[in-house]
Amino acid sequence: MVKIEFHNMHDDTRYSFAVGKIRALESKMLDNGLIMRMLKSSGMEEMLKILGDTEYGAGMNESADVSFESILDNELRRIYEFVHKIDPDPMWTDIWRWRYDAHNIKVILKAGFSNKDAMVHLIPLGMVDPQDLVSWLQEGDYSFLPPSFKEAVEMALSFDEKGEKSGQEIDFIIDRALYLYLSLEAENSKNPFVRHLVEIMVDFINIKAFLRTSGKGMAKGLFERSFLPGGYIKEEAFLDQGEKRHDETVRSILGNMRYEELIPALGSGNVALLEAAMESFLITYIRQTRRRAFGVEPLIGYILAKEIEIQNLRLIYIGKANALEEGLIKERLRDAYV
Amino acid sequence: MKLETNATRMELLRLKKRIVIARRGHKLLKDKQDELMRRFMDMIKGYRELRYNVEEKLADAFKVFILSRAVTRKEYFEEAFLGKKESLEVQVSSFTIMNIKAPKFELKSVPDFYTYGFSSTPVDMDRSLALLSEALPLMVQLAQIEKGIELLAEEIERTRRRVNALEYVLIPSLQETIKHITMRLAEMERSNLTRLMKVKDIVRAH
Repeated sequence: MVKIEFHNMHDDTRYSFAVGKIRALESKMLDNGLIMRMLKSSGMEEMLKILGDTEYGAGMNESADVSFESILDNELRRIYEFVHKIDPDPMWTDIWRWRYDAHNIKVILKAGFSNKDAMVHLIPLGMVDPQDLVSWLQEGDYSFLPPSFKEAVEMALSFDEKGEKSGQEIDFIIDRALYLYLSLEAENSKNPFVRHLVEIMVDFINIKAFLRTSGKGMAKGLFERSFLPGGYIKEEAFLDQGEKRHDETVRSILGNMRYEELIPALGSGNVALLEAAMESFLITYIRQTRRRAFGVEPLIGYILAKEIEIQNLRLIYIGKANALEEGLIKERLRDAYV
Repeated sequence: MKLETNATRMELLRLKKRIVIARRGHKLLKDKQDELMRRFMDMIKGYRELRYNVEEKLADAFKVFILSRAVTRKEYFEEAFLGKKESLEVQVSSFTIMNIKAPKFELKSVPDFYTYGFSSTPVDMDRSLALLSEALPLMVQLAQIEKGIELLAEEIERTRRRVNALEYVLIPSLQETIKHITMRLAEMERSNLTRLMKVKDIVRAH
């Protein structure tokens, strides 16, 4: 586990109010006990009843007709807006919203290639309003985009001209632009917590991609095309392993780098369980921000922890709605932040 | 039911020939029906196994598909499948079973199922698509067997109707008609004989 030496970091006292507010909000987050109670509930109704007694209750009581996905979306939107409001320098809490913009750009490009309506698939949580994003991209105005995104969009559109309209290639190009942007911003922040966070995120995507692309039916060279820059693990670490099996390669990478805790999950042979373990690892990493009294880190930690909490709720709800076995849901649950 | 015929020797001979042909036809059709039934039962057995296999694979695939949806935002999930539509090619030819022309489906090209990036899609999505791609050729095979069974069942039904028509309608009618004509001819024979004896008696009396 990457340990952040907060005592060596500069205390930004501008954050004292914001961190205080976040500490109060953290106490309202769902703990493992509550998540287990929801998992063990007899069905959706009982689960919603338990959830109604938490801070999600307010959103649920607003309208009886509102869908569960909307409740989760509204909660996430509320969190982003709240953190943006209390953050004295929102730049470092806002950069994560570019992940939603990246998704929206992919949707608009893909929908354009396949003549489909993009609006229904857009997420209104990004830095750019989805409606504006659609019209600006259609007009060819990329001035609002960070440079890496601008180049990526131009490259993706040139594919269309050449007739190589692969949805997967668009995903690779935009993802690369997103993580390049996040890495550059993390580097500029001079904040080791943010830098390591982006490195961990990129490493996890690359490790999963390496294992996923070894599966049956996957095209050759897919990993090289999907590889994201900005991680701690370099591309050569994956590719210079000779005749080793993919899982053995990943095992040695995890052991040699800083992710030894993930080796047991890799041993299960199920990459989905490794995926869950990776997000639990991420939670453990960002949990360190709870020791930080002044700085942007608790705010970033809270946003990301909230996203994982919402993911857990979605997993339980959809699992209950489709009568999936409790064991299948449980093994995919991520650790709670509190 | 007796057929409407003239009670003549010519007709009797014609009907006797007809009943021989009808009996031979009945036997042949009965044999065909038995063979069709045997093939039908064989196909049903194979079909049942394949259907069970396909259903099991699809159930697994859908379960993992739901799991993958459960760990992802709806929009991410839909975006993954928004790209260019892949298509698959099935070649249709035909083959014969017991003189029945049945279609033969052959999967010529399988689409690339993995049309998405890896950063925002869950691992379970790959597994569910892998299971679905494994089920696809079996589903095509299942469709071919199902169609074959349907055509075979129609043929069995048609053959059974013919066998029944011969067994319960035509052959009994012919038998009844032959019996009627035979009796009628015997009656005529007796009548003729009586008439001749009567004429002989009258001639003797004079």
